[in-house]
Amino acid sequence: MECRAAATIRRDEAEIRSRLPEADPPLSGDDVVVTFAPAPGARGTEVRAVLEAGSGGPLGAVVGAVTGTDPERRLSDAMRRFKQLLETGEVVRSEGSPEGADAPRMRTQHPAEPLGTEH
Amino acid sequence: MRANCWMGRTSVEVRDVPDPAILNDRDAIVRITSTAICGSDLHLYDGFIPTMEKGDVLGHEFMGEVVEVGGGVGNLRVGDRVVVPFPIACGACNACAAGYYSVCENSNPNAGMAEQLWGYAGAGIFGYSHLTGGFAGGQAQYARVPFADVGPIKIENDLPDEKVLFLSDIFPTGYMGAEMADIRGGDVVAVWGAGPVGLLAMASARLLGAERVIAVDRFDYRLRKAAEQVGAETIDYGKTDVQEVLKDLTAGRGPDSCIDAVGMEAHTEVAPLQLYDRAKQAVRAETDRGPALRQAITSCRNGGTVSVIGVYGGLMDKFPVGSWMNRSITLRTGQCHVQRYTRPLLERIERGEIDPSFVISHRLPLEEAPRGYEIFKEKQDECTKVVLSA
Repeated sequence: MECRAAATIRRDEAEIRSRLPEADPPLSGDDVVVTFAPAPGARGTEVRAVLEAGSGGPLGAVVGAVTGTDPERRLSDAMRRFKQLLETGEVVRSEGSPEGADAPRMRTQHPAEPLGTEH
Repeated sequence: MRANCWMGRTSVEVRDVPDPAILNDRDAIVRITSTAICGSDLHLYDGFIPTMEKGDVLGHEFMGEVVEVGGGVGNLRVGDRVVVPFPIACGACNACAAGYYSVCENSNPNAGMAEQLWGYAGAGIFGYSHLTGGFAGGQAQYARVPFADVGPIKIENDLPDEKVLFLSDIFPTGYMGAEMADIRGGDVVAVWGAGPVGLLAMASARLLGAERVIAVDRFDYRLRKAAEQVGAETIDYGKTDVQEVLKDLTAGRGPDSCIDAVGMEAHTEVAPLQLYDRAKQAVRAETDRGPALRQAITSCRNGGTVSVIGVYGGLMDKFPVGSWMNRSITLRTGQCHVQRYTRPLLERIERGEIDPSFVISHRLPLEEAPRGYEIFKEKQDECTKVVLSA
């Protein structure tokens, strides 16, 4: 099955392209096709990813390994964390979602209290 | 540390929880000196905002002293005194670049959850459900503040906490409500809700040049405060027909701007309407009760502006779409983009143009937060605003 995710990232295409391997899981590899277009109004770059879920490659493997989750949500989580990394320099973590944007974590949230020694 | 936690519907408890730690380079840890209970905390308390978890640390209005900074925070040092805005904003996305901090594209790790309810997600908010990120709040001794290089404003004067604490939320929120109302000299502005946000919206309307301000509420002590502190004319909606009185006060025109500072738990004396909204809310066929917003729209003059700063969460029935459309009403709203307003509003406080602490009615220690929630909700003891010292 084919999954899609998109984000507008306030960076130029060359930088985004060079940093795709930093995405977690990486938005690079044989199973994922990423395309770029300038965002209108000087708002950066429109980034679109298309993934053949269940096929080989690191992202496909992760998607395949996680049963009971929607692969499209996994792809959109990866894209969201990648946008955060490029725009803010970090993956945003809360006490409820300490790993950052993550569809399975959204179903079972840690209470919004400090994490203590577990992290 | 000690923290006030949500334990279920109408139940909060001050408990021992772990101390916060830096999770990201752009985090800071703040030792909280003053924090407040917001009217919107009552929506959580009353169970009207989904995605709360037992144990969530509440609170989004707080200030204190920086005790630790991550490596990426260049503008703050240990010992700085700061007020922290309630929306968490990265300062780097297109929304932040345009000044729309409360819809920051990056600060809500649970954006996927919010998108299912709202279409797109808003920013992360401290202590305000997992829909807005699952961030621990500030009704506690310490808080972790993400993007500490963007949000917190340093207080470098010796003004007491209570004069600057409300830069975290209710003063900018009230001010943005008045700004969105597009006030021009000579305007008549009506404000639904004479709670803390409504009172500060009224005071802000004055700062922005409103000639007359009219407060709509049903609690005598709150209307009295509006009259005494802001010079507002008052309407008790429990005793009179608001629309008729407004028509009369404006010789048939209606107010130029109407501000809804009530939100989703609005109440009406018209029994069938109150019953209608309560019943639909009870079976989750409607999440938000609408009498204040409905009346703000139908009362506004032709071509006027309705500004909504009361909090809504989901869906409302019987929206007066015909009155809105046919009479050229402009409807504006938003969670406050606090970061836009902290500097100019701090300067207004420093110049003595306004002292937002006039809304405070109760000062309690953090340990008494549960009592604070109860008296605020039940409007006991003429409660308008509770400040907790941590």
